[in-house]
Amino acid sequence: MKCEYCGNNLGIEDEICPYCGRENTHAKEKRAVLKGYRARFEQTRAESKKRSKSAARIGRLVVIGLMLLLIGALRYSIRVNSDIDTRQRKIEDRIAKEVGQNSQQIADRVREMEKNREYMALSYYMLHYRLRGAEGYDEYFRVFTAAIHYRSICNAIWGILDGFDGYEEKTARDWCDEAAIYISDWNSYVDGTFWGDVPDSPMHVGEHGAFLADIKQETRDIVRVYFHLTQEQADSMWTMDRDALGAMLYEGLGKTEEGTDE
Amino acid sequence: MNRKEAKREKGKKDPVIRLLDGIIVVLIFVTLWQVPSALFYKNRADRNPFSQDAEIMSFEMQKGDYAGLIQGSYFNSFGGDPEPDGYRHLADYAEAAFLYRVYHTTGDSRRADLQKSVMEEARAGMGELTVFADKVDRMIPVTE
Repeated sequence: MKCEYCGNNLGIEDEICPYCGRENTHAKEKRAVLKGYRARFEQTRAESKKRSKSAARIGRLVVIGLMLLLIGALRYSIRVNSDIDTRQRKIEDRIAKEVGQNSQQIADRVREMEKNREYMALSYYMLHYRLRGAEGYDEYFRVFTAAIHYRSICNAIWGILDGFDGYEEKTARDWCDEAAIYISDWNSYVDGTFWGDVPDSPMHVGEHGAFLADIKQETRDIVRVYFHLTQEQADSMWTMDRDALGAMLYEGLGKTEEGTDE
Repeated sequence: MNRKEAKREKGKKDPVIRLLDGIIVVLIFVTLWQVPSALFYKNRADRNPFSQDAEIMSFEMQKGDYAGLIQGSYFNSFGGDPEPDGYRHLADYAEAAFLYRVYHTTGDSRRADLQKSVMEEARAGMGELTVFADKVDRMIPVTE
């Protein structure tokens, strides 16, 4: 484009000719169009910037919302799983469901353990499935109690043998006293004198009765061997006073199998 | 707007976005802090309360708690949990040795032999834990 007055070359944006100082009339219209384009460009740019800012804010808010939901879920999970009562209830529900689904299998296994005289296994199986007091196991009540007594006496003997303090600084004397509790309680709670059991009670007849006799005999043998008792002492231990029995068991620990003091 | 201004404009971040970015960073840290706890409690809640893993059984052995070992082994077998095989054999060995002494002393040779075979089988499967089986032998001496 040339200046209509001096003929020099001009740019489209030159409003005044830099050579003669007159107005560049040719470019007026074009400049107006350009201005319009610029204005539209700036407007579009501003709108786009505004939209992009909003999108960025919304995006971040969505991320924050999702993270808060995730943290909430984690907090809920921690609360539910760490709460002792809730956890216990969940465990009990799970076990009850398992017992309900496999009731026949569990009943068969209990019968098998009773028949095979698996005393220790039965005591833990019954505890694992909460069978003591469970529906359908009323007749097993004394059998289960016997298994618990048997296990507790064996565990007390283990405490003496391995020197484990039971996390309570238990001494050999304490373990003897603990064994004495379960032995002296046998007649009351396993034989059922405390509850006034009659001999033909369903808890004492048939396989249950045979089991109860055998487990008592084995418990007697275990106590006799590990506490070096004489036959007479072993026979009389069931009716002895707890304290006297505890003292006798402790005294027996110091003896050899031949009955002499070590 | 020249390039310099555009660059300056670009570098100037919306303060609200900055604040939201800060919140996101904080939330990431909170999440990372919460995840291990959630996994720990979930894992614990799903486990059989009586079951024991090798670490607990090893701890019991350090404390010398053989009754606890036997108990753990039974609960593991009932709960269907994958149990540490060596410790199960050690538990079997300890229980059999305990009963072997009784049957042997009372002259019940049939049952004593049965326990002896359990002990032999268990000893063969316990690997490096035989050191604890030797300890059991010292704890429960049997006069042949």
